This record gives sequence, C-alpha cells and structure tokens, in this order.
Amino acid sequence: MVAAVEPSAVIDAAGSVHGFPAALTSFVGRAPVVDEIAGHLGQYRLVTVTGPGGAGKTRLAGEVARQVAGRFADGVWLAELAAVQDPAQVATAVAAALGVRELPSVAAADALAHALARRQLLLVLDNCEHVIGAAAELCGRLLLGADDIRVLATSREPLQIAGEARYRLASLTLPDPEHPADPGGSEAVALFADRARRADASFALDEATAPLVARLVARLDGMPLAIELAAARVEALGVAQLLDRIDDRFTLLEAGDRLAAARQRSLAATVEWSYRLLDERERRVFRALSVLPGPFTLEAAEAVAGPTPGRLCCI
Amino acid sequence: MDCSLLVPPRAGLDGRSRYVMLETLRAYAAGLLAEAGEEGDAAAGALAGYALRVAEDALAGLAAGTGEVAAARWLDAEGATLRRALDWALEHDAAVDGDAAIAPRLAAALAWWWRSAWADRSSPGSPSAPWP
Repeated sequence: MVAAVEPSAVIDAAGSVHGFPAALTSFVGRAPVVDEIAGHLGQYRLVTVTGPGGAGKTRLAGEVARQVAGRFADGVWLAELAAVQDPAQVATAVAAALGVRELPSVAAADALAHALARRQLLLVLDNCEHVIGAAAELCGRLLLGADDIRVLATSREPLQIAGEARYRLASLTLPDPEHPADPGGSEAVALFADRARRADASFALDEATAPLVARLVARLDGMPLAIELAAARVEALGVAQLLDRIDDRFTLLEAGDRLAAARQRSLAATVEWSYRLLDERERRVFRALSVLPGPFTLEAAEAVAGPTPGRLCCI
Repeated sequence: MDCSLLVPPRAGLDGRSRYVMLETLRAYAAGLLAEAGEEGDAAAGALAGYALRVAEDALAGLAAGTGEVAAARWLDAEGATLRRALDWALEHDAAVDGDAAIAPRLAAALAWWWRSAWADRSSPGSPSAPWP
C-alpha cells in the first residue's frame, strides 16, 4: 500500500523555504521520484521537471524543495512564472520573488546575478513553458554568474540549455489490470482514496469500490489533477456513477480530438466535466476569475465576478 | 472548505489571504471567457477598476502614514494584477463609471511605488532583500 506522507512541518535549520504555499493536503505516492530529483540536485545545477499540465509538477517541486532545503544555507526560493505574460518580465518577476531590488539602469538579470553571486540557494522556477526562451536565458545567466546557486525548473518543455538534467514526470502508478480488485500499491488509487475521504468521510476502499476506483484512475491516465477533480465529486455521485459520467464525457471528447496526447485529453475532459457540474452562476464566477493573473483576495474575486457569498468555496 | 477548482486561501507576504487557481484550470477558464465576448470585456474592465482602487488605497495609506513598507508590500503582492490592469487600460483607455481614464490615474497612483523600487533597489542585496 502506498503511504500518504504528511508534508514535513519542520524544515532543517540550515535552510528554509520561501514563497511556497502551505501544503493543505497530504502528498501521496511519488516518494521515489522526490528522492531521485533530490539526488539529481546534488549532482546537477539545473534540473527541469517536465510533464503535461495537471501532472503534479508544481506540487512535486514543493516536496523536493522541502526535502533539500537543509542543503542550502540561504534556503529555497520559489519564483512562480505562471502570471508572467511578457518574456521581458521574467527576470523582474524572479527578482521580485527573491526580494532583489533593481536599478532602472541595470538589467534585472544582471542585478539578480550580482545579488546571488555569493548566495548558496536553490531557485525554483515554476511554470516556465509560456516564457521558455526568457527563462532559459535567465537560467544560463544566473548559473554562470552565481557559482553556488542551483535551479529546479518545472515546465511542459525542457529549457534546452547546456548542463540541464531533465526529469520527465510519469503518471501516478496504476493498478495491475489483471487484478483490478487488488489496487494496493497503486499511487493513483491511493491518491483517489485520500482525496475521496476528504470529500466524504464515509468513503472506504473496499471490495465494492476498489475495482471501480481502479478503472476510474486508469481512465484518467493516472493524472493527479484529474483524479483530484473526480474525487472531489464522490460524495454527490458515488464511485459507480462517477465512472459512468466520466466514461460518457470521454467518449464524446475522444471522438473530436484524436491527435491530442492521451494524458492531456483525460485532463481536459475532467476539467470540462468538473466545470459542467457547476451551476450557471458558479460557472460565471469561474470564468471571470481567470482574468486574475495570480493569487487573488476575496475582494478581487468579488470585483471581477460580482458578490460571491460562499460561492468561492463551491468552485 | 470544499474547493475543487480553487486552492483555499493562504496569507501572502502582505498578510492578506489569497486564493490560488492552478494555472491549468485558469487557462481553461480564460479560454471560456475569451469565447464569452462581452463577459470577458466586463471582467477585464472590472479588474482595471479593482487595480485602481488598490493603487489609490495604497497611496492614501501612505499619505495617512500607515507605513510605506506595508503599502509597498501590498502593491508587490498585487503586482501581476496591477500590470495586467495597466496593460489593458492603456489599450482600452477605459473609464470607471464615467470618471477619467484609468491608465493615467493608475500610473499616477503607482508612481511612488515605482520610484521607491528604483531608489531602494539601487544596491542589490541591500537590507531590502529578505536575507541579511
């Protein structure tokens, strides 16, 4: 059986993590992956975790960061690039995340390289794919100019610079199709069970539900985000109906989109399916929230989506 | 808290709680919003109005002496939103409720923040950096 490991609450005194969201859910499975990437970071100065959206790259990077923080005297720093639209702003965003101040006359990349020159830290660049060229250039500049820093990047595509170690994140392990009633050891099943229990305290993985869960997570290609979205609906629907509905949804989408990679397609289908389960007002709120480029306050949400008493919790 | 499409709020560097929407989901929602026509324009306009309120409230806090650091932290935390709002306002020359156009008001309200950033940031690794 795969253990659900509670996120480590205590950080080694030698280093600390900055900018990472507190983990609100347990990190399920992938312990060997965390160890392997932590190992790569001992050997290489740039490690890029690649995989499609929803594969769990961001969460994994957070777990790796917590594991290796003790090795870095100046800690681990997260620079979230998802909200950066203009490649020219990548260095500025990273500088802001690190609290490094710029001079108007000095390029942010140079100010950063200067500030980091005597630091021993790990920089985590999350969601590089949409500004990949600028992220790669900045990485190259910083790794050259600051001897004691290392970079952990997450991206759908590799950065493609010299010295980059790439780790292609696989799906969560699935149950043995020969023994669907015995899903022990499958990370995907363990994740579903953990999140389903959060949504519905009475949920249990037993003889009746185990084979259904095994089929469901296989249908979702072991994609963590898809599994979490499905598990969130288990209380309302039950596992059998969940499987039926997702099957229907997928048949529809697969007919229309044969070229997309399977994992990408299962995620798209699950996201769409979750969206369709919202009522019309909730859908409006969800759409409107997308204009907010980064983390947002309740006031910001209400400004763009209208008053949402209690509604944000339903989304 | 039962959020499936949103990550429940957590406190940012400025002490305010913020929700997070995973980028994969935000991109999906943005696609739907783009298809929704007027709804998208309304949301972008509302974002600009919100950004202007934040910028002007921070400026007012500064004038009231509640602290430059607190005001700057707030704007730092809202940086991506302020930038997007300014980009949108510059392209649309929008007005809030018939008031003056947003872009110049936003720029005027943010000027002290940009200037303080330039001044404070003159020595990289200065005390403004979060490490000693």
